Amino acid sequence: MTWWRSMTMTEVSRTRPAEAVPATLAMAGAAAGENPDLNAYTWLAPPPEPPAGSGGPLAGFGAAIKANICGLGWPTDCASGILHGYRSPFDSTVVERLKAAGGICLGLANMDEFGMGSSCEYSSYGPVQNPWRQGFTAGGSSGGAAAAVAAGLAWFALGSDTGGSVRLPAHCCGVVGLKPTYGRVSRYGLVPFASSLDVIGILARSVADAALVLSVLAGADPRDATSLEAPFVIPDPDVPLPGLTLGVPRNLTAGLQAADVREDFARVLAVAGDLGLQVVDVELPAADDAVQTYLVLASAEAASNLARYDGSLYGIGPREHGTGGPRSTAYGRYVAAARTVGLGPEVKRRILLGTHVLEAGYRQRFYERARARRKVLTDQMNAVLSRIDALILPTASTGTFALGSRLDDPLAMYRTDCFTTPASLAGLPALTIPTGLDERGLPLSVQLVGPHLGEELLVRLGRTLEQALAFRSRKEAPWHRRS
Amino acid sequence: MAPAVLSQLIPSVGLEIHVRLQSSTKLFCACPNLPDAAANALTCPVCMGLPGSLPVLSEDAVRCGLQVALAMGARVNRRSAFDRKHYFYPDLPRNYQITQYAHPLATGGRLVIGDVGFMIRRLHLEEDAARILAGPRVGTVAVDLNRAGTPLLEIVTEPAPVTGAQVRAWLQGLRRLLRYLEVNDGNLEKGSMRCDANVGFLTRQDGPHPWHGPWSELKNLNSPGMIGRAVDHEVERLTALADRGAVPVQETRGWDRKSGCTRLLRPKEETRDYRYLPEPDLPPVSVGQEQLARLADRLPELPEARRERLRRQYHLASEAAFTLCRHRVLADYFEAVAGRLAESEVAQGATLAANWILTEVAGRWDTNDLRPGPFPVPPAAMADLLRLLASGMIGRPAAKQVLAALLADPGSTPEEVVQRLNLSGIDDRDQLDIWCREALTQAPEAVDSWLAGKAEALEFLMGRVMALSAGRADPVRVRETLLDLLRPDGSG
Repeated sequence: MTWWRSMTMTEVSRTRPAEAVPATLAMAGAAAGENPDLNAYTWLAPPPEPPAGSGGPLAGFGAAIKANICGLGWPTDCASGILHGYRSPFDSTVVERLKAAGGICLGLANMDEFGMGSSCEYSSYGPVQNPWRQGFTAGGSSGGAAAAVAAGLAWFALGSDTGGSVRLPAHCCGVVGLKPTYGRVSRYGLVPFASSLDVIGILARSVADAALVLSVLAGADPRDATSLEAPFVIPDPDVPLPGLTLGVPRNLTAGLQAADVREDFARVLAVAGDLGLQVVDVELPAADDAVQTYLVLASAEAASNLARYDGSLYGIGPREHGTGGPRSTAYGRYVAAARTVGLGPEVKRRILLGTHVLEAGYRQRFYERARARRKVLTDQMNAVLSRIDALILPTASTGTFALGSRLDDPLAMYRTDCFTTPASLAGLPALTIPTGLDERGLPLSVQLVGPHLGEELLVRLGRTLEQALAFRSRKEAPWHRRS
Repeated sequence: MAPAVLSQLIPSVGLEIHVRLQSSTKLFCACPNLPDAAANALTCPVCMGLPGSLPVLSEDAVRCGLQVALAMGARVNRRSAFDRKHYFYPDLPRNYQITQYAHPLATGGRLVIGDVGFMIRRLHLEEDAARILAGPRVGTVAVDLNRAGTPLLEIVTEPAPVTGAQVRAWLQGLRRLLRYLEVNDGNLEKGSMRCDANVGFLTRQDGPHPWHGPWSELKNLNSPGMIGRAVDHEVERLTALADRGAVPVQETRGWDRKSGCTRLLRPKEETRDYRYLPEPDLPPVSVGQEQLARLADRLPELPEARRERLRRQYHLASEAAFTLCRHRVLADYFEAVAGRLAESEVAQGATLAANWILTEVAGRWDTNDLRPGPFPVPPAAMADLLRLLASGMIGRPAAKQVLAALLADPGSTPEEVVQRLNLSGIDDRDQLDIWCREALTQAPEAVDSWLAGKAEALEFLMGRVMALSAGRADPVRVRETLLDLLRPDGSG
């Protein structure tokens, strides 16, 4: 076991800053050796050149970047066959900022195709293994990113979260997952899944590390019209937390079936109480059908965003079907063939669903209704968060699950997101912190949801809870001890 | 379908006009808005629709659109928004077009050109598609993305009971207006303004009528003249159908230049389902009252109104006023010169300025440029030149020489040029006498005509004298001298 597998960036910066670069180089070497088993990376960058300057808050630290985030010359293919061979001709804003802060890209992280999935099984590169136990999922869709951080093969990772895609893998892999407020981090260079929900998020080994990365990424970007002028300043860790009130959305947590999740959550609430935090019950009735609302809206936007993949500019077109002039039916056949070959089953399912809910005759019943529901839920969450400081709830209703166990049941897969989609629909920041292990010895977590642009508060709360729960000092992924 | 009562049906035409806006950049990226550059030279990740790119709205394009909306008296919506219009076609890099569907930039308004008025239904912004070219092999196409993402303003009118000739006149006026506002170069051959016409009927009574249509959507018409002819033909065709008691069907039709007839392009399909989706990448466009007021303040006097004012204020002929107002810079120049001449109380100064500018300046000034540079001779110098001409100091041919010299050396003044080239009008009685006598000798037939009472003969003789003097003779004195010589008691 090597020290860099478990130490946080914050600790390294404080105690041995000169060792960040050699450790990152060692990490890159380890990733090359171990990735065939873990499958966390879809592409490993050439061995990193030690950065010339030593400046920048991320100087020398290596990151895994989800394969839907563009970097100049990188094969950002979203783990999709239709983008096979595509190389992005530009850096995303987050990659630009990460590099400017001295960060190093170790490689692109495996994911569910275009971010659609909760288990990383819908990847053209095959599933990611959970570093805690082979045969279990790393969660999705940013599973590769979470697994790389948990396995000690990246200091931190950039993922994307549309309905829980950063928080769920963090939960499954026992790492911290931060989904910022919609717009706080630029989406320029993030290949879109559902543009009104997509947020670039952070996977890290501690809340402090996640805050460090957010301070580098956050802030307005003229290339993203939906970005917000809201830079993030890391809150001073020495300022004590005032008496805060946390709300438990009882209508969501009341239905928790798994005893271990229920008990773990109760323990976390007790710890919060011991810390002097007030815990109250709140109601979010509109969150009951958040998954359905989410699925309709996300699929509609996905069908639109993915329309461009028609086999003409990206990927290998189905040459055997020939090409045709635009007016000829041959063109339609060409596009259909390219998409049939290039897109995976879950992506096709969402495109069909998304096309259907926007169709004349169904639009009112599905799309417009879901939009109205989103508005109701957003108003409800904002109203609740004006009375209390943050929501607290589990990230998922169960711990991670075995590979293959939900593949034949899309609805069960979609329900995995029932605790994470409310914050996505409302555009609110959310933070997942590992708490303990379930009865199988696999990680569990708790999720904090803050008010609009309330990341500072979430970080302060998260650091305090994290310290009290002491998950990391007790447990770590047994990846490096595998036989 | 109820049988149509022909006498109750009034042919009507509604127009949909796509106007290319000459903003500095494309609608959603920083690429220059020059669709005619070398194929695919002006592209970037955004207008190519590459994964991860995001559109950012060009404020300049919005400003252009707002100017047109204000010029038509349309109601600018405080908040407008973009939608995605989906269809698979190789000219759309994302396979959706970003357009304003549910919430257009402006609604209502009216544009009257001469005696033809159209009510405006809506104006909205949208991006143009790429250009499709023949591909390298049979059955393939090539795509030029320079035009992809360039800004269009779509103007939709209400149907109006107009003839083809009226449609043509109105569109020509619209084209002048857009050029005058400097938002569109009016180059129809290059598709700067593309118009579809919907032909149907209005009825004398209120309420819906089964014959209203619109029945025919006339597409791919690339000049106001062609649209006018196509509309007339289509009205005739539909009326003939009605006459026979037949029922029209909705069709998309084009114009066949050879036969001078419209022809069927395709039957109107079921309304296509574009599955409009509110564009999540672009926040709504808000137009503040202040911004609108500022734009309205800066909105120039429009050509129709200005033409009328020039006619009244300067007593210009309609034709001259019309031609001057074809180009804003030309009308501005005229007013600057005429104003200065009025200050120095030059008689008929405005008419002189108008004639001079239309004959001597317009041809030397490339006002066809969308935003033409200033004329090299500033209005003050031009007024000085015309003052010399009006006072008889120089004749018209000499004035032309002065203008040429000023164009060659914009730094000099008309007075300097007159001195340098020794152009000042010669009013030496003896010299004038010599030239006039010579002219009379050379053109005895003109003298005869004059004596026979033909007034034009004097102009002819004056022209001869001016030619003999190389334009230097003072025309007023020449006239006097000639009249003296031609008097029956004169020595001629």
